[in-house]
Amino acid sequence: MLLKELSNARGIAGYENDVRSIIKDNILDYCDKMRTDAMGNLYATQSGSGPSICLLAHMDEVGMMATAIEENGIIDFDTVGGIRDDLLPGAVVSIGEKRLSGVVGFPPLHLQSKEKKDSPVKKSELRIDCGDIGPEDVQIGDMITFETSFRSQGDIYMGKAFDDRIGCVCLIEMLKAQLGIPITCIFTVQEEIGTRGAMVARTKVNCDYAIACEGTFALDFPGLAKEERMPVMGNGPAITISDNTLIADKLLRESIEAAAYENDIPYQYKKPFAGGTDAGAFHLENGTPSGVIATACRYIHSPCAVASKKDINYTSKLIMAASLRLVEGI
Amino acid sequence: MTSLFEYLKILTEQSGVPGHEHNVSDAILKICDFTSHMTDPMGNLICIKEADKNAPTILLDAHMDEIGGLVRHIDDDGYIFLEPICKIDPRIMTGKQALINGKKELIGTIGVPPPHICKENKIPKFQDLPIDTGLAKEELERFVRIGDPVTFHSPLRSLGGTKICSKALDNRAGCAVLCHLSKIIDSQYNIAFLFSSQEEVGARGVQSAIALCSPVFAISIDATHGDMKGVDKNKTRVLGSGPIIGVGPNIHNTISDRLRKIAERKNISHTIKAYPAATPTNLRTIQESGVPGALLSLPVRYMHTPSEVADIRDMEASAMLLKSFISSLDAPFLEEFSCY
Repeated sequence: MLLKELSNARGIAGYENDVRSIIKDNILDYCDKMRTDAMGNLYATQSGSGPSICLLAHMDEVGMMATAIEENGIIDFDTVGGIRDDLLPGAVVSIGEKRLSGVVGFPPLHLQSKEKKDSPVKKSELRIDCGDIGPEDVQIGDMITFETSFRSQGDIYMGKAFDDRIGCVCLIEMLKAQLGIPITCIFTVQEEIGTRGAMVARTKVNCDYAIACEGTFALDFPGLAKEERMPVMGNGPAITISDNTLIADKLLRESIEAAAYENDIPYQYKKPFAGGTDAGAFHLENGTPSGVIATACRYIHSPCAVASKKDINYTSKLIMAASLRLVEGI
Repeated sequence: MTSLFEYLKILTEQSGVPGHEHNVSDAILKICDFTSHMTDPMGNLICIKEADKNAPTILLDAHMDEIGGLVRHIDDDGYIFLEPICKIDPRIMTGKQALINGKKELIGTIGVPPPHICKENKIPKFQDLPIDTGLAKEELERFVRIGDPVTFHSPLRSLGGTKICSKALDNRAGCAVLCHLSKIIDSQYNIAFLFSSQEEVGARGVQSAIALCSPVFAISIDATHGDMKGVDKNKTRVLGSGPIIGVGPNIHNTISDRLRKIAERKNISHTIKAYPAATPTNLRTIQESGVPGALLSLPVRYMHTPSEVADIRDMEASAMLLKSFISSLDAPFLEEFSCY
């Protein structure tokens, strides 16, 4: 299964090789043109007539990087992308190309001073324990990812890197559907450290519209007030009105909403002014009208996210429906 | 060493919070082949390797239970909230996965809001941590009921060298040593392998089991703290340095002395740890029952977290030490305990 393969694959910003290979293998037979740029972005084009659309999904995930190798298999690290410090203690991780397992060690309560017991977790005090390793086993700069096995349970999937392997899956499905419209699916790099891949990609293509396809956060979290719970897992794709990098083009957004309505696809809005996506980078090039369609996943940027199977299907459907509608003209 | 790893894999997979150890005891019976065994209402598993009906019995004890929680509440959105059974640091819960042992095994994730909207960093209350199975309340309640046991979901993995990582190495590591030992041991005495229940709530299982065994003496094997970054080295023992032989008022010197001597004679790497008061183990209860006892500990890092780390060499060495120790036993030694 594609999402399983992509979720279990490893790729922090700058280390997207494995993810890109999987995507290439899956789309090769479905595009008229496929290329990469010097940054590592992957472009897959299908030709057709009418206004052209760029669909964006980023290949990188949040993770960590080895910054120092201390004695006895102990590794200092820093996060690559936004990860809360309090998610790290006890996490099992996979290190470097050899995929060594390691754990973020946390001393037991029995051995902590009162002061330590009462302090929140600080990343700078944590280390990864890899057991007995040789000098060649781990290098400074090695990629570190959460080691989480993808799982299907009832109506949901659980796994890591749903932000944005779900977007990658939706784009691959779009290509496989071969709708005969002019699209370029761009699988970008380095989104999690500031949409850096998209900044390059926006200069390499000409398009009339850009839509980022994302695995975004769901906020149906206990303790959050009902009105704060926006979006909610299971309520359909989340459409962005605005976030920290983009005020979505109003006509484009309304067209996406109309496509949802016409195709009986439930949808919801994403909480305004939170997060940011590759669409933020794209609309700054020529003012390309840009928007975002996302699956709302619980606990993104953590070792284990949760997403609704139905939402993922609807997101994929909405991306296709919206693209078809845009080509006919807003 | 291979067989120890395989036993550990099977044993750490089982969930067994205090009072719910049956999965672990079933697994032990599948791994091992004993002359006879019995279980008691407390959940203890007592396995006998019999030499002669009239021979004295020696007790080897390892507790089967692990830390965890019980389902306390399911809210309208299908989130599960727990009551901890033992003291668990809430800081190690977030971002981890839990195994809910209801009518059907379910995996839940313990999430937090993403950094995009929540930057605060404070220690959560254990009881407020939501476990998310993705199931709606109605469906969830078909499988999960209030009081169902919950443990970490953290399968065994190999780290570099002979180190391993999993939940519940405290004390499945001890159970694995006894399973391994049962296959390599040969004695003129009856050996009772006690896989005890409810240690983590205060050594309750062993208290009821010890009377059923009537041993001459007992040895408990349990986990203690291994060396960790940022922790006083005097309070821990280095992983890979072998079993830790306890000394102190809770431990009968005759046995610990013999263990040390055998270890030295057989060149089995080991360390000594002093316990100035009662040990926080089953041995406390064993001694209070009037049975002389000793403590063999395995160093485990990050105890009571989903990712405990231990070294298989320590388990191998523990089994070797116990095997040599038991084959060295003779009548004069067994009569020595009351001679002061």
